[in-house]
Amino acid sequence: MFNEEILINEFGIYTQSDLGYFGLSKYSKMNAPSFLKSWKNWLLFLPGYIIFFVVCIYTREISAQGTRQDKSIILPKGFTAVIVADSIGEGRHIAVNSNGDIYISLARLKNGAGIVALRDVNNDGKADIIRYFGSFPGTGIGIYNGYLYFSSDTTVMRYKLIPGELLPKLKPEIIARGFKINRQHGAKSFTFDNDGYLYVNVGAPSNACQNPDRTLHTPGMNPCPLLLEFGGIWRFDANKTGQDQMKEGYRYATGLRNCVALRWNPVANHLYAVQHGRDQLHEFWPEYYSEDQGVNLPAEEFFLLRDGINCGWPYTYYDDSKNMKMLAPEYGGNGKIQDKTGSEKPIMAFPAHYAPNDLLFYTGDQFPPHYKNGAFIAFHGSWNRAPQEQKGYNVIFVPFLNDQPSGKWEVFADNFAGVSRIMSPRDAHHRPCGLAMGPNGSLYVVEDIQGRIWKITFRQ
Amino acid sequence: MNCQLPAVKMDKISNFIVLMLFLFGNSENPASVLIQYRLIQFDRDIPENGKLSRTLKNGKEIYRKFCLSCHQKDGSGVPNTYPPLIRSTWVKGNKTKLILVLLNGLEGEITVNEDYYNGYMPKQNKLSDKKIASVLTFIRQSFNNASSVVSPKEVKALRGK
Repeated sequence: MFNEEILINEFGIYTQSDLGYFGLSKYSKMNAPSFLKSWKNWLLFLPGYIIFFVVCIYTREISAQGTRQDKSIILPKGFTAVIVADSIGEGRHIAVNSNGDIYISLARLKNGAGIVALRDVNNDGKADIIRYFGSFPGTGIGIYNGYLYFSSDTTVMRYKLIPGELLPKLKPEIIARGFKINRQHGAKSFTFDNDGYLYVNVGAPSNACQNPDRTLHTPGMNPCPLLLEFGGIWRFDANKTGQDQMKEGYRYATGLRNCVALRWNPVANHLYAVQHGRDQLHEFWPEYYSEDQGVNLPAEEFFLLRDGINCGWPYTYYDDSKNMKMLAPEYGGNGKIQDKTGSEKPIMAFPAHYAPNDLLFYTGDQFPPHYKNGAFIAFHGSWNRAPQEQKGYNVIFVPFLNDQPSGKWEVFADNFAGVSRIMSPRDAHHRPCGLAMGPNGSLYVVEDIQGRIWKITFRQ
Repeated sequence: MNCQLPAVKMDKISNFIVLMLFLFGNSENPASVLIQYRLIQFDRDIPENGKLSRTLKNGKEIYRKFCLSCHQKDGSGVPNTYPPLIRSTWVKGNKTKLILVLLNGLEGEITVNEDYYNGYMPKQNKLSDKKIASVLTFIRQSFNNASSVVSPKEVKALRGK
């Protein structure tokens, strides 16, 4: 047939012979507009509409299940994760109150606020109420004696919690101040001991105390003047307002480059920290360190911090292949000279540049006995392993007996990055940053790229 | 990598390759495909033809030694800390501002491609005018940028400012 009339319907253009083929030849005498004018003809499409809506509802159901049960991170057998909330802002550290209310510090203001509070009303793990408050961005957050403590990069403050209410009283009291503005390692993470003290990480505004910092072949300042005000843990009275770092603050530990991961172990009754080790051995001292050595040195050090301890930064770094503290190249080292100053050795070492951003001692009863009193560490993930593959981006576990590790470390939660090979930190979908334990022993993890929070529970 | 291709053409080619990798490759997300492609781009040799390619080669070597560890092999930087060089208005735009970042360093909060960064960039004033010019030319003609060359004279004129 050469003079077919062409019909236009929702599915495109059909010829009369096509209609015959579909068994609809009785419509072939109509042209397109009259075919669609009769409402009865529209009913022909009804099955299509129904299928369309069923598919829509079904896919929505699947994605809703996806937010309740998260399969993206990989956990040991028996553990499941639920996404508490997503896109809350650049979440840094996290605190969970005894009633399950969650508080998270933000690296950058979101909705004009630096703290986000979340409450799960119907107990499905998902946050139902999300509120923003506080005027400063920061890292440290913790609950102590009925107060929510929070730190910006220059001040530790506290908000009085109101029993039953999600939001605390919105006017903060200053606890510790006088920390100088610090472009590198500015996070003032903190923790409390059992005796009313507050310990604050004061990271060094430097890589290895060079002047100018991070430059080729520049020797380190000797003695390093930064250690007077930075590069250590300062202790304060947790209940006293208006303390100044240099007046009322006490330098509890020194020689620590930056310990965002800082936590009092309430069982062993000691302070512990995991240090961000120095960067760029190969870039600044290529004659002593190959690219591979720059990637794999120095180890990230896990310290038990006793009063008055010196952990050796910037004069030393830790080489885990030799199990030795080495003299830093900025102070005459060449990769082969051991440190002779007797700086503290770590209780455990982790691969270089993993970037430990939180430490948590698991005192709950929900997880199997293996985890009791052990340490979880959140690794933000490396940038300093370039041009090789970046690593970290996970939460690991260290079993403990009394005050020492009792076995090797193991990866607990993995695949936060969401890609098989991380060639640049920008590849990673998530970078774990904060850890907390809920009232019934669940583990919370927060990350600062998309602002996602996971609640990890154990089921037999 | 043929760095002398105009930006638009470069974008079209890279977008096509990325699309193909995404459709037929076995990677999980387009972003990582993009980065894999950019890494291939970085590893590709600069063809030997004339003065510009020599400058680009030298610039690439300096980039590897002085810039790569923070700004990464593919120029993507580190979120919140070290800004990306890919399609960056800081890199593509005003040469004076860019030269001064290298000569004087940079510290504190900045905005690049609508994202915020707070880090520390050491000054690189120990490098010669020629070296600074070549590395700036390299970054201005790589990472999906296609801007004009920077000459040693332009660097020299800004020293001490």
